[in-house]
Amino acid sequence: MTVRITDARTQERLPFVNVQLVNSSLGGMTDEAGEYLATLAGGRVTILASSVGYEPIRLQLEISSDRTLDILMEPMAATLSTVTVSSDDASARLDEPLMGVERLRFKEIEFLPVALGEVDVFRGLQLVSGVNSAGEASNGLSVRGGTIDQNLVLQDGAPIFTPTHLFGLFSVFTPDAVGSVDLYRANIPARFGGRVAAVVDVKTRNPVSDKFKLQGGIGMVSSRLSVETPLTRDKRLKVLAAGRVGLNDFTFTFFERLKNTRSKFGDASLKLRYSADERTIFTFSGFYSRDFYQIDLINGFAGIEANTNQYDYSTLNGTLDWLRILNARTNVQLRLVSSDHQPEVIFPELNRDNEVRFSSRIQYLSGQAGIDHKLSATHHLAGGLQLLRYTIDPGVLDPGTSANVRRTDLAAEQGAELSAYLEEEWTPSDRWSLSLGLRYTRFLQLAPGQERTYGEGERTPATLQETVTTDRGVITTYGGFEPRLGISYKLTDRSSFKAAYALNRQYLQNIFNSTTPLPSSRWKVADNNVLPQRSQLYSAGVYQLLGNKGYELSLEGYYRAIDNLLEYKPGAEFFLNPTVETDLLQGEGQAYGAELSLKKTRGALTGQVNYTYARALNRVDGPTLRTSINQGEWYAGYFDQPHTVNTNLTLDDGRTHRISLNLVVQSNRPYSIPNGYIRNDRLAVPIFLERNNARLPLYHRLDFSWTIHNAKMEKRRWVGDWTLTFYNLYGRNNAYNIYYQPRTTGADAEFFGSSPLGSYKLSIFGAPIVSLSYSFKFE
Amino acid sequence: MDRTLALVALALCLCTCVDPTVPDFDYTTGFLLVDGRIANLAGESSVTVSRSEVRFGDFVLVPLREARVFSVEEGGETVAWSEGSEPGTFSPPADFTTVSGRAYHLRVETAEGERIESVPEVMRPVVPIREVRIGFEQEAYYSTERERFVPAFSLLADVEDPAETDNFYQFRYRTFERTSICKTCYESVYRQGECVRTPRVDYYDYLCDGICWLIERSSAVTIYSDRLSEGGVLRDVIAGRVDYTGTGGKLALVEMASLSPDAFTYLQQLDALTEGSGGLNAPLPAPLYGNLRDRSEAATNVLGYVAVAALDTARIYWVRNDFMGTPVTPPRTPQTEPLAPSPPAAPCSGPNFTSDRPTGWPN
Repeated sequence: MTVRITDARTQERLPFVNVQLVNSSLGGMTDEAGEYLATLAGGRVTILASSVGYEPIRLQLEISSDRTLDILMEPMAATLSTVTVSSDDASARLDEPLMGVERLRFKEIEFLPVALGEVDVFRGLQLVSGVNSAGEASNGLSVRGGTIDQNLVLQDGAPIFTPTHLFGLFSVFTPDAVGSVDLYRANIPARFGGRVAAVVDVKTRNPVSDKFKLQGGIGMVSSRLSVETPLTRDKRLKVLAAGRVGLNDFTFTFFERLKNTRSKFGDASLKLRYSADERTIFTFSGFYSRDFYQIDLINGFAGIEANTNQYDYSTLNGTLDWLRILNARTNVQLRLVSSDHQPEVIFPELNRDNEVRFSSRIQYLSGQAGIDHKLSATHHLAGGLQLLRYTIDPGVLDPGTSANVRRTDLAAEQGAELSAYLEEEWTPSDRWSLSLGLRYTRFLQLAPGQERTYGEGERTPATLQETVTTDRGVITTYGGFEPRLGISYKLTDRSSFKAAYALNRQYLQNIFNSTTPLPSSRWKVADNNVLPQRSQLYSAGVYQLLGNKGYELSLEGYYRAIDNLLEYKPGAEFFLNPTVETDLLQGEGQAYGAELSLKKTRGALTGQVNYTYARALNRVDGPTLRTSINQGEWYAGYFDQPHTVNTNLTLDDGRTHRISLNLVVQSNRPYSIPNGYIRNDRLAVPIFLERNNARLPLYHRLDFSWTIHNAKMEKRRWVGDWTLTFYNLYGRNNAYNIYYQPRTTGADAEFFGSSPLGSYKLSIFGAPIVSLSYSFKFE
Repeated sequence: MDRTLALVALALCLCTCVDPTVPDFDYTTGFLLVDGRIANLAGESSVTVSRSEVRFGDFVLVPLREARVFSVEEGGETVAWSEGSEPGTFSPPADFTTVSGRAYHLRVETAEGERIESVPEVMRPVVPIREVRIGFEQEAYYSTERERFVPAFSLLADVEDPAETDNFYQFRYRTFERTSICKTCYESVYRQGECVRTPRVDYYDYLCDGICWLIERSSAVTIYSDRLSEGGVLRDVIAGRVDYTGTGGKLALVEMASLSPDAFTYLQQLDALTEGSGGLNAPLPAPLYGNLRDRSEAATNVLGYVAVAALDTARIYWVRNDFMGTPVTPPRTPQTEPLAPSPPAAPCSGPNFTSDRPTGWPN
């Protein structure tokens, strides 16, 4: 029997719906096409279909032969426990009180034209209004002008501290394991906390197939394979195992400039799902990612003669979930999460058989309990408790046999967050719906640890007055309530108005004095010197469905104010710095903008055109020259990109061919140009009296991809797809950065003239990138 | 197929990563630059004083010839410095001495009434260089300007670092090598001590009028802090890198300055703004605040640093051809002017030439 689930309002198929056959071990989730296949002996069965955000369905029927059962599910007015705003769920989007939420499904991400043909969650998210990155090689995302570490990146509830492979070119999520990606960029549900800009919540697919399934692909950079199968005869225990490896770095050796470059990476996801009975499900989700790369020296330190840097970093995450459905109205969940991030930088000494190693580590543990209760037709409550703890080893330097360097071990930092949250979804009338959330978090900087006190004025190593080492208890504590509010008012059947407010605090920060962090960049808990960042976001918007061909128009505006924004002193250096706060500044930030979006979600041609106006400004006004930036005036933030037009069009004949086009045109990032130069001995040194006083040239890029699905159009167990991708089709040489260096020869005089400084444009993909990949599915 | 595509893609994308571009500036004028050092060794103290201006659209640092410069010993004497042969460069008298453990600062008075003072720094004890060695690598570093890996010699110093204190060092070097060319005139010919513009001439080299050594100075910032070491004898500390550009003997005079922590931090920033500014993960450009302030009412912005430096020096001579390697450019053959009976000879003089046999040069 095939169970086919459809949204009663939009008539769109619903994937990821729980389907259980009562009094049997059968059950699972609908696939991307909204279908679930069950093999039954026949007779009378009771089917339970549930999906958070929809009214659950209970059906009894007699089965005597093969058949397809169509079930229509009614969306609830608004639901907090899931973000059901999907690109093909237009009417639900109108009713949802949540704003600024986007869900991408793997199918949507899979066909995006991306560089080197790698399927990439972050590239998919960059189609969304207000989401940018520092360029092609960026170790994360900027959401509405925020910095990279202001986003909480989760996979199955476990944080990922370095979410990219290969110098930041691709995100780490194992492509075949990704089920859906939710981006919360306005009204972040109260169950999430700890970051001030956004939450990227990646969920891996549940293993639901009753049969053995194999899928994979071969690409230019990596190859991947996944297996999905039941593990027990009663099919209560199922597994999804997916992996990807990239070992093609031998190609670097063909290029003079890159011959010392090496890069290898891999990631794997494992998901085990055990249905103990019809009401109890255990799920284990594991994730491992590892990167090794070697490049010409970019971070050296005196005393060690080395020509290369090697980076070796890994993430090992695990999540154990227990879900108990108490009745049709109530379920409870328990979750245990562990995350272990271990970056290492290696300096192989020249002409010596020795390596100097710098390693650091973040360990994260969390326990969470939640309850979800549908009180009545108009009230839906959810609440829970969360306890999380992180231990940070900021850095250990192991000199090996080098006599010039001694072993250095920075003091560990530890923090805990105790949180309670309550969410209420209330639909007082047909027109109004409200999403009310309240989160309370208490942050504790835990011992053992240090509390450093500085004298009046600027914090410097010289003004350090006292260092108190505490062995037990709590050193510093912060906390407070974080209200979250969303309101939706239905203007007509086809239009609505929404407004939202969210307050967030961030107690864990990534500190790096560069465009984008390295995997080894330091993380720091809040303490008596570094205060937690706090943001308040106000947003409002109108949404309109146009015609009956799936057109949606939306306009959203937002304003975000941030206190204790993190900034860096001139020349800040964090490598093995025992007093990092002496190089940190805190100021204020504001971001505001408007996002206009037109989407078409039905038919052979789908797509979206987005225009975003967005500003992100910072101000740091300290008492001295070194503690204020740009004379204490507002200045452009690192992701201040005022204008962005983002277009994505996909033509799908529904059978064999799928063609997709992306066009991105945007103001590029701010950067700093010199205010002149000085001479130190014979060396010309650019001087920068202002930060971010210019803007890199306009960024634009057109991408194209063509997928041929099952070219022979025969129903076989083995189905193969070919995807041809042109990234940066017309070869725009977009600037990633422009930097200045003293000239040592007379080269390039046609550019530099008589200037003692040369300027160089660094670009990542300065030409069209063609790639061809092959993917297969075997059942 | 995959391999071909990968090669094409990488060739297209990764080999055109860095392109020269016309530099943009947002000139700020009117600031003063005071940069130099008060050193323990005779003849090694000097400071340059200049003011930034824009002339005909170009940024220039105009030497301040009318300035009065003094070094001030804390609780001791004030010594007037005088301008040398280079405009805007001032030096103390030849008998100028310093005392280890005493604090010194510099005072500059300009004709416009500004009174600039550096933050006093203590003259630290001299830390000796025990020995200097030569290392060689055919592919020492990649040069964006040359678009190739450059062969280079490393100057490796053994330093007797005091274990009980934090120490901060800067290395500089001067190299000497024999030269036969003392002047090169581009699009011109050499007459009466000057290059005279002449049509249809690319360039001519003019031979020296006697025995002559070419002097080259380090330009990169080479610094070292013992913060991460135990102290004692530090081996093979990198004191400089000399490109392999010619053949024959070469002499290096390596100088190690023992500096204050603030001077070291300043040089660290300077390094980040120059050599360290490229790459995917370069530090963000930032203002370079030194240790000087205008105490007059004008409150002019003053950039630069006046460090108090305790110097020690060491010398090493080596023959470049003795190392298994190839120079970055083939040895230069002089292109002399075809003039009968012979083209004029150029004197072995100026800051980059000396006819005095450098100490340490073999007989």
